[in-house]
Amino acid sequence: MEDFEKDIKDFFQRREIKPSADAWQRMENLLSEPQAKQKKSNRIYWAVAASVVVLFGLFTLLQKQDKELINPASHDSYVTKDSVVNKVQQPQNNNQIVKADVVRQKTENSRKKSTTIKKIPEKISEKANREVYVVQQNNVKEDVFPVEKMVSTEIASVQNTKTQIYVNPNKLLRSAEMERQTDNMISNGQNFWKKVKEINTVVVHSK
Amino acid sequence: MNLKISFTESELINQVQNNNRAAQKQLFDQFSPTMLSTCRQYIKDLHNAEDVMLCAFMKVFQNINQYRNDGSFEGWIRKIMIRESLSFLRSKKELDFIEDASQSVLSVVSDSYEISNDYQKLIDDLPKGCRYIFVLSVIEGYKHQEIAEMLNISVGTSKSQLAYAKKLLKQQIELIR
Repeated sequence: MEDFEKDIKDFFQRREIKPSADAWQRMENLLSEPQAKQKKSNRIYWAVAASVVVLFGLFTLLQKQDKELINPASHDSYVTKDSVVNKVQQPQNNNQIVKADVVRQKTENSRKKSTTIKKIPEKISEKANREVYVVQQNNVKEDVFPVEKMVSTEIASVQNTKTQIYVNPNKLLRSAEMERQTDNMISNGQNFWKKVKEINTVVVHSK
Repeated sequence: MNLKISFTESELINQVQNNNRAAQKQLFDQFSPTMLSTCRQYIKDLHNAEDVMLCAFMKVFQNINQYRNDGSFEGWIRKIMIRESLSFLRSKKELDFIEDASQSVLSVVSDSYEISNDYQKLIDDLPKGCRYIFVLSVIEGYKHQEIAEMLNISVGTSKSQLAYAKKLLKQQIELIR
C-alpha cells in the first residue's frame, strides 16, 4: 500500500493536462473585465454610502420631531418666555410703556383661547399711548411663534414710534363685522322664537 | 501582438505585478497544464476544472503582490488552485457530506483498471467524503490539522476518512491484481 501511495503521488505530481485552445482567450477576457467590475462596485459603494447618510439624516430628523410632539412645551415655551421677557425689558430701559406682565398676560390669554375682540374699544380709549394688539388664537401650539412675532413687532414699533398708537385696522374691521353678524344672528333667532311662542299662544287661546 | 518574450521567474513575477500582459501569458502557459491537473484531482468534470483554474489564475494575477519569496512560486500558485477548487465544491454542496461519509461505499466497483494509467479513475470512484481528504493528505501532503481547517471538519474526521479511503483503495488494488 505504501508503494501504491508513493506511485500515485508521483503520478499526480508529474501529470499535466493541456487546457483547451481558447483558455488563454478566456483568461484575457477575465483580465479585462475586472476594471469595469471595480468601477461598478465603486459606484454601488458610493450609492450605498449616500443612501445610508440620507436615511440617518431622516431618522434623526424624525426623532427630533417625535420628541417635540411628545413634550412640545419643554423647550420652545421656555425660549419664548425668555425671549419675551428679554425683548420686553429692552423697551423698558428706554422708558417705554409696555411691560412684561402685559405681554405675559397676552400670551396666557391667547393660550386660553380667549378673544380680545370686545376689549378693543376700551383699550383704545383708556390707554391712548399704548399699543393694542388683537391676537385670536385657537390653538396652543400655534401661539408660540405668533407671540414672538407679536413682541418683536411691538418692540420694533415702540422703538420707531414712541408715542404712536398702532391698531391693525383690518383686524379691527373684521372683528367688528363678525361681532355685528353674531349679534344679528342672535337677535334674529330670538325674534323667531318670540313669533313662534306668540303663534302658539294664539292657537291655544283660539282653541 | 507578439507576446513571446521569455522572462526568468523573478522577472516574470515583477512583470506580472506591473500588469504586463506578455508576462501574464507566459505565466499562464508555463503553469496552466500542471494547475489544470491539480484542479482535476478534485473536480471530476474537466470543463468545470478549467473554469475553476481560470478563476484561480485571476486571483494569482490580482494577488501576486502578496507573494513573498519564502517558498516556491509554483507551490504558492498550487495553494490558490486547491483553495479555489474547494470553494467550487463547497458552492456545489459537495463538501457538506464529509462528516457522514463513513457509511458510503465506492461509487463504482470495477476490475478493469490499469493502475499505472488510471489513478485518476480510482480516486474519482472513491466516496466524495474521503476522496478530497485522500488527495489533500497523500498527494498534496497536507497535515490533518490543515485539512480539518480547510474543510471545516474535525481532525478526527480527517484521520478516519483517510483511513477509510486507504482501505477502499487497498480493496480495489487487490481486486485488480
